[in-house]
Amino acid sequence: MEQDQLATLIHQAQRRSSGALDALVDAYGARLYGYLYRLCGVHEEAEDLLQEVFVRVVRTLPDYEHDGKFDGWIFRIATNLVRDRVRRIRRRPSTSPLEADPSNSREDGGGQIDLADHHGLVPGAGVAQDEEMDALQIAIAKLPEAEREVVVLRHFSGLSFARIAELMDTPLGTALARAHRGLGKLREMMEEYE
Amino acid sequence: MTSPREQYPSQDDQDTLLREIKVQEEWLAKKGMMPDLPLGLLERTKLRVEISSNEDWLAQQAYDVDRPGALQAAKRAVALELASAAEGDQEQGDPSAGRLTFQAFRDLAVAAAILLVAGIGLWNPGKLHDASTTVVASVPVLIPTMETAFDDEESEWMAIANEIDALEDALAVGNNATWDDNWMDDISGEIDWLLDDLEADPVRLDFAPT
Repeated sequence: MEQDQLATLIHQAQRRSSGALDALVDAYGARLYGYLYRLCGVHEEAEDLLQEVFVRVVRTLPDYEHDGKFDGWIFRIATNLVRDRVRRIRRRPSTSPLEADPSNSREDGGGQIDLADHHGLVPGAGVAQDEEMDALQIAIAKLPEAEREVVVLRHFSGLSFARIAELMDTPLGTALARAHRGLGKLREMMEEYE
Repeated sequence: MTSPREQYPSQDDQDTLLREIKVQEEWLAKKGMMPDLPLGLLERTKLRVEISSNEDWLAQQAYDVDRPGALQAAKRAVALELASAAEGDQEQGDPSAGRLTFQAFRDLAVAAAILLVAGIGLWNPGKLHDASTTVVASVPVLIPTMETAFDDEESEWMAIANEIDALEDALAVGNNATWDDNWMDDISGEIDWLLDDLEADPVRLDFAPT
C-alpha cells in the first residue's frame, strides 16, 4: 500500500470509519495472523490475538500520530500482546501446548513456547509440505523468544532491522545479532530434522 | 546478557552479520520456507520487505487455510468495538447520563421535607403544625434555587447544601423554644447522610434520568 493511501486510510480510521478499519484488517490482517500464529503456534490463539490487536487499534488509533511508521506501530501492539500472553502462561501451571519454558531468561531469548508435542499444524497441506512445515513450526517454536521474535517479525512485518530494533527497544546490533543467531539455529534444527 | 559487542557492533560486524543473514535466508528461501527475497534487500538501507511478496508467500502457505475466517472474526471484533465506542460517546455526550436530574432531585427534596415533618411529628407532636408550615414554606424557595444550581454543575452541591442548612436553620428558629438537641442531631444526621450519599453516588439512589 502506498504511503499516501495508507495515511488517508489511517485518517479515516481515526474518525472511526468502519470501511477504513476493515481495509486495515485486509491490509495487515494476513501478515499479523501469520506473525501471531508463528509465535504462538495455535490457530485459535492466533485468531483471538488478531482480534485483540484490532480492538486495540480501534481504541488507540485516535491518539496515534502518523509518522510513516504504522507497520511498526501495529506490529508492536501484536508483539506486546504475545508477550503478555507468554507472561500469563508462565505464571500459571500448564500442560497445554502453549506451555512456556521459564528456565530461559529474557536475554537468553527465554520463555520459548514448546510446541514439540503440538499436533494439528498446517491442516490441509500436502504430506511432504505438511511434514516440512510442521518441522519448521516446531523449529521456530524452539528458538529463544527474543530470536524468534526478530526472525518472525522480520519475515511477516517486512520492517527493516533498524525499525525492528526500534520496535523492540534494542540497539540495531542486538536485533541483527538475534536474527543471525536465530536463523542459524533454525537452519541447524532443520538440517538435523532432514 | 547481551555482550557489549552485540550492543555496539562495528560497521564491519554489522556488514558481516547482514551477509550471513542473507546467506541463511537464501537457504531458507530455497527450501520454500521463507520468501524469495531479491538480492540486496537485506542491506541496511534496503531492508524493507515488499508487502505484496509477503502476502503472496503467505497465501501459498498451508497454514493460511484459516486466514479468511480469522480476518472476518477480526472485522467483527472491530465492528463490536466501534459500536461500544459509539455507545460510550453517546453516554458521554448526554448531560443527563449518570447524574441525578433536577426532576429526580426535586422528588428527593420533597421526600426529605416529608421526612422532616414526619420526624417532628413523631418526636414532638405539639410542634407538628409549626414544623410543617415552616418546611412547606421553605420548599418553594428551595426548589427554584436547586433548579438554578443544577445549571451550574460546579456549584450545585454547595448550593443545595446551603439551602438545606437554611432549611434546618428555619426549623430551628421556628421551634427554638422546645427544640431538643438530640432530636436536632438526628434530623441533621439524616440530612447529612442524604447529602453524603447523593454526593458519593447519586446513581445508587436509583433516580432514573428524566
